[in-house]
Amino acid sequence: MDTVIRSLVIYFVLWAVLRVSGRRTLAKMTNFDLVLLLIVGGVTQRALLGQDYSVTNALLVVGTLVLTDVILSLLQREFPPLSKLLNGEPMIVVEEGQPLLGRLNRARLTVEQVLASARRSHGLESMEEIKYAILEASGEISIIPYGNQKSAA
Amino acid sequence: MDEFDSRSHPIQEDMPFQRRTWIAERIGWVIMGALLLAALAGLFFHGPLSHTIARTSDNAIAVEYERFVHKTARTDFRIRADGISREILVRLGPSFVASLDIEVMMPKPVRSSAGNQGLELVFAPSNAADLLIHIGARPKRSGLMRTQIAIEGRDPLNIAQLIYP
Repeated sequence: MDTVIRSLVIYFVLWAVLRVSGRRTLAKMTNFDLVLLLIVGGVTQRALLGQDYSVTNALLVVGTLVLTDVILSLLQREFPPLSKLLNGEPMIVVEEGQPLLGRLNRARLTVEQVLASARRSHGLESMEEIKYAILEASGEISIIPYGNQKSAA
Repeated sequence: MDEFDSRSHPIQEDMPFQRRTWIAERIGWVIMGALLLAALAGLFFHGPLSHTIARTSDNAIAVEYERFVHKTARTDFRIRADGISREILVRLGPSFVASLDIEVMMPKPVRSSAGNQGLELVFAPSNAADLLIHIGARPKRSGLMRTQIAIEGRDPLNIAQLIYP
């Protein structure tokens, strides 16, 4: 009983912490983010297992976490507002070549990061070539370049 | 169109929701910061808010311990009694034994027994007139632990310890 409750608590606390830390935190990982993630994993692992290193306990923890995940994903399909609450929503950050600076600020992104993403994904050189840049709920930046000029070139 | 108005192309946005998310984020940061400060102050373990000494009114007995401890993380109790140069009986209340696993005890009692009064320990007299007992224990049950530590012939001391899960 303990194990299941503990797993659920950790699941939702981790969700809350990651949600609060803002969405770009883990999607575009720097080396240090990776280390941080490993530490978070290591620390929570002890709390999840308590002092019980049995196979049964491990199975219960894994089962609880996976099942919670599945149930939440099913609920999100049924109730889209829940998905919005749990995962956040995509947001436009560049529109017709114009960066929306207020939005970028609030999302703790810089113009430079948007340009870097544009270079990587589409080989774009400047803001004017971006029709839309969208900060996805997952934290990635999707780039939609202008028309077909680019692919024709 | 204002920067913070919702667009519908190429995706349907909900900027009011987005703004609420940002506010929630910032509130979350403040809460995390507050928790961190509280932790530094010792609200969760080890720190000025946590460390305390319970004394009898005549200061003859004192118990030094942590108010806030964690389940499974070891914590120490130091019991000091003045002017004792004979064999002495120390009694740890029943909830002490129910909430904590005693791992270390220095000095070792010469006799011990347990009953519904709790754990009774008899210590040999020391050459110094003071009796000093160190107990290292590991909490095994979370919640508020209220108990008494008593030394025979003296007023019992009330101890309250919050054990975080």
